[in-house]
This record gives sequence, C-alpha cells and structure tokens, in this order.
Amino acid sequence: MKEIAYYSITTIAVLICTFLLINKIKKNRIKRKILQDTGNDYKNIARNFALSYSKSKELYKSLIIKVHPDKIDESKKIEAQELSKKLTTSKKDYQKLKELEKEIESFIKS
Amino acid sequence: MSNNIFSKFSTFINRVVDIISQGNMERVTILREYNLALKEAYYQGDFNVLCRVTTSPGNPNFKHALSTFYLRSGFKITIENDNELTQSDLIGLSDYFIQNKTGVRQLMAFGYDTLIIIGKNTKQGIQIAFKDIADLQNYMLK
Repeated sequence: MKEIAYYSITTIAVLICTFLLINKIKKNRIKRKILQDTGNDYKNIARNFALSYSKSKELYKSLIIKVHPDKIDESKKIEAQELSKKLTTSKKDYQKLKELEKEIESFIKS
Repeated sequence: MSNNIFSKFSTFINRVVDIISQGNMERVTILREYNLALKEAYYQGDFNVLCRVTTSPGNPNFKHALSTFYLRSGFKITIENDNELTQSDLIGLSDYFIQNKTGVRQLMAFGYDTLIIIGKNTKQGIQIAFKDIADLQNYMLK
C-alpha cells in the first residue's frame, strides 16, 4: 500500500514538473520570437521616451506648419497631405518625427 | 544618508530577486539601460523629470500570456522630483511611454504586465495594462 502511494505521488509530481517545463519552454520560444523582432536597444527606447516627452510637441508644431495645405502648391498637395498624416500618427514619437523632418526637408527642396 | 543606503540596498535585493525569479540577467540589463538613459537625459537637460525604473508588484487583473508572478510583474517608474506633479501630468507621461509599442512588447516579453507611474513624495500614481496597448497574438504558437 505504501509503495503504491509512493509511486502514485512520484508519478503525479513528475507529470506536473513535465507540464510546467513544457509551458516554460513554450513561453521562452514566444519570448525569443518577440525579442528577435523588437531587438534589444533598450537605451534608445528609453531615450526616445524622454525626448518625446520634452521635445516632440514643439517639433511636431514646427513640422506641421511646413506641410500645411495653404503653404503648398496645388501639384504637391497630395504628397503634403500624406506627410501631414504621417506626422499626426507620429505626434508623440520624437525619433519618427526626426525621420519625417528629413523627408519634409527634401520634399520642400524638390 | 540612511535613506540612500536603504534605497541602494533595496535596489540590490530587487535585482537579486529578478535574477533568481527569471533565471537570467535580462531584467537587470533592461532596468539598468533604462535608468542610465533617463538619468542622462535629465542631467543633459533633455528631460525635466528625474525617473527611476524598478520591478514591483503588478496588478493581477492585467495578466497576459507571458506574465510573470504578479508580485514581480509591475514596471514601475518613480518620479523623484514630483513636487508640482498632477494626475494629468502622470497621464501625459504615460501617453508618451506607451506610444512606442515595440518597447511595450519587449517589456511584455520579460514578464511585465503593468506600467506603474508614481511620484516619490506625493504618492500619486497610475496603473496601465500592457495588454491594452500591444497584443502578442501574432507571436502565439499555433
């Protein structure tokens, strides 16, 4: 009787451990997939958060004026609208606003 | 001085618990990188808020597929200079943090499920569920 109880408990414990281990391996695979896509540039993400909070509002205002429909020729209005849509989507992301700034500068020069 | 020592000691214990609970140094690395970047931004004048990030207890209602145990699932941003901070300032701060879905997914991958932003002295704070900001459906194994 004692032996049966001992073996049952051991089997149940092994099954539970196996289940937990398989779960952990699955979670780790998902985690590796996510980190492969997102990368590991944590410092840049934190810095972007800080700069976005302090500077993105001003930068957005200065850029949206440049692509305002009233200031653009009729021939470039569609492109200007696309740029202002992108600006509005990236309103709070300083890094993306800086990338759009370069696009807007080359758009204005062309 | 004793506050400083206590703060350093609790940070050290926090890191040790993170390493033991996760089995690796990843969380320690991400917290260190965030703290360095935020401190640098503050002292360079690019950021007017001095923040410190730590792991803390999260909200068990915000659990997602990769959440760690709720006592270690909170990503806490403590604002050291919170003298004139209001609730709407905290909400504004959180808006800028959560707009970067890549960063949010990274934190979810490390088992965090709750963003907590809290003032050090005023103790005003907010909590946001990461699963409401970014989803992991595309990464779930079929």
